Amino acid sequence: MNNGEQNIIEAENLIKRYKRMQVPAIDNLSLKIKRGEIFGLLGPNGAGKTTLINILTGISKPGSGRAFINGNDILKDLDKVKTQTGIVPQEIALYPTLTIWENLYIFGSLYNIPHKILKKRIDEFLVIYGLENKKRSQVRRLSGGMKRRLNIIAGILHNPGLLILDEPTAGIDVQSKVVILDNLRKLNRDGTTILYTSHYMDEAERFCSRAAIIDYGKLIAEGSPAKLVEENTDCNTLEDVFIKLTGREIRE
Amino acid sequence: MMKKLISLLYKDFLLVVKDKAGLGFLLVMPVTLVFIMTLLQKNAYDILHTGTFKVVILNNDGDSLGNDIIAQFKKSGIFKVTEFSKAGKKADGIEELVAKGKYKVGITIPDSLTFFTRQAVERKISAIFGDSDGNDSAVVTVPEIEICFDPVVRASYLMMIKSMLREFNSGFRTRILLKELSAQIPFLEREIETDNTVTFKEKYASASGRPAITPNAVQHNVPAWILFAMFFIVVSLAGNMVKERDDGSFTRLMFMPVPYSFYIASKVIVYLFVCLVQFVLMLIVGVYIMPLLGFPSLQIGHNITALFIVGLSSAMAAVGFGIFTGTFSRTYQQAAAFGALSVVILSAIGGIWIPVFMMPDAMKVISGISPLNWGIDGFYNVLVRNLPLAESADDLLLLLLFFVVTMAASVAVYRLRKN
Repeated sequence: MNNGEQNIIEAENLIKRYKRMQVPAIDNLSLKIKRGEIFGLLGPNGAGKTTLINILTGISKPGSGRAFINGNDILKDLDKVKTQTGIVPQEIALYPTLTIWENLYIFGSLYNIPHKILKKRIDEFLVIYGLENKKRSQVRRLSGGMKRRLNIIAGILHNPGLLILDEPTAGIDVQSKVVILDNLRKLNRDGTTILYTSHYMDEAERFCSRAAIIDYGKLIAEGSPAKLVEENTDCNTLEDVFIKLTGREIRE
Repeated sequence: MMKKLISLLYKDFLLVVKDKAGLGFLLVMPVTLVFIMTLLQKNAYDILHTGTFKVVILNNDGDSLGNDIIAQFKKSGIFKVTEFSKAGKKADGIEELVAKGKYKVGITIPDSLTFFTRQAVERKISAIFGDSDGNDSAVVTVPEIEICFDPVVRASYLMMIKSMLREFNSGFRTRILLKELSAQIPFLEREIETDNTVTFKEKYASASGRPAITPNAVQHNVPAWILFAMFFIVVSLAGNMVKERDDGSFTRLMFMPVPYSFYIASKVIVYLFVCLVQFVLMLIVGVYIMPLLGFPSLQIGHNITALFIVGLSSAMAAVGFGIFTGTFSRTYQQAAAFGALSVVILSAIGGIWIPVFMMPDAMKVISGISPLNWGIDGFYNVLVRNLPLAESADDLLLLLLFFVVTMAASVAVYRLRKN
């Protein structure tokens, strides 16, 4: 595969079928994401966004097709892929009975970050995300917004070149959302490529430099939010484009 | 890579330690069960070893056979004998005492038992040697010894008492027989010394050359409940794995450059440690705490290494089963219900609640499939039979094989689901 220097993700003809499902979760999907982008992966529930993320991060294997992250084959060089990628899953993927500090220390040390550097980074990120006073609190005692912010810190402790976020702002207060998005922009400015999924079209329109809309496992539109709106002359916003392309039918 | 394993160990250790209720349950439950079950079974062992099986005997005979029976019962050390003479009680009074539960067994020795027994033997001898005068040839009817027993008494005790009575009676008849024969054949009594009869030396079987350890309720219950407790970690371990999947932390771990084998190895090591803590705690309770409460002290035998190896092998089987349950279960409820139920069933058929030798034949065969049965057999070899470790090799191999099979099945299921 031609891994152009500027592409951090290249997926080609990915197909993934689950048992007892008639249509494939991912249906011959190809995608390229350039280094330094904030790329929005948009789609209704069940469109295949999480499945695509799971394939790109090695959680599940594609039925067919190939994908590369930073030039590394996700099937052959998975350890390299994992080391260079940060993941912020949709759920709060943390240990509820452990403290903030314990969670971050455990996840950070699994990336082989030296102890002193890890401690320093944890303290820095806790300040940036407004959690410095809660570091001895158990995760289960935090508010939804705090948990979301912590979920992000756990994914960026190792300074990944690519950060994949699955609905990082779902169900949180405006203040937490602002903190999260501002800091993601800062990370992006510092060189981290961001692949992000969201159901909030207004947020995606403002936040993403480029976006793709997928439905039923297929890529149905791709481009900058402005370009997507421009190409659909009867639409004024990205949400209009989304509704136009995916329909008004309620999913799952 | 070692650093990653240490981080995972730290994580699993924290998860166990922070679940104070779960940890407390894993440590307190077996200790409580040992106390309760030992208390419940103490009486059964005391009956056999300390003479608390209460027997009331009404001696209407008052002659040598009746007196001999009472003397032998007292001498046996198994029974606590209360004796009534002919004047003291009537047969129905004895039955009433047993019916009210004051005694387990009541024996009524009939009037003139000695006289009729002696007469029956003498007549037999006379008939054989042709001394009979015609009237003597009539058969003498020896009165019956009446035994009444509490319905809760096991059939085995009743058989034992009947057997003892038969033996006393037979001994008495033999002595009379010898006396009568001596009258016919001079010097016979001197030649056939009763001292030459078979005598018995009793001891607990030991194949090791070392003396077997006297079995008691503590000696049986401590290893039994150690095993039960070890296997009960299945609920905690499987629940922990399901929770990790539910809260997404497992997914995050799998997103990271962490091999699945490390994830499993960490769980195995931490839960083996928990099992060994349970093991040591229970031994300490058996050796030091039980005597303070009036129970016998646990004797841990001569081979501590063998004891530890049996404990470790059992712990490995328990942890393997926990990993297997945690991998297969889709929900916490499934893991908790299946884990608890399967351990109770495996312990019941494995001989934890009731010793295997007391089970029906079909159940004895079935008990062979329970890893708790392999474990308890290994523990009994060391703790009760005082055998060397080699004698438990088959049990240890089965436990280790069980660990390997459950681990392999868990990894296979994980891979199948991933793909």
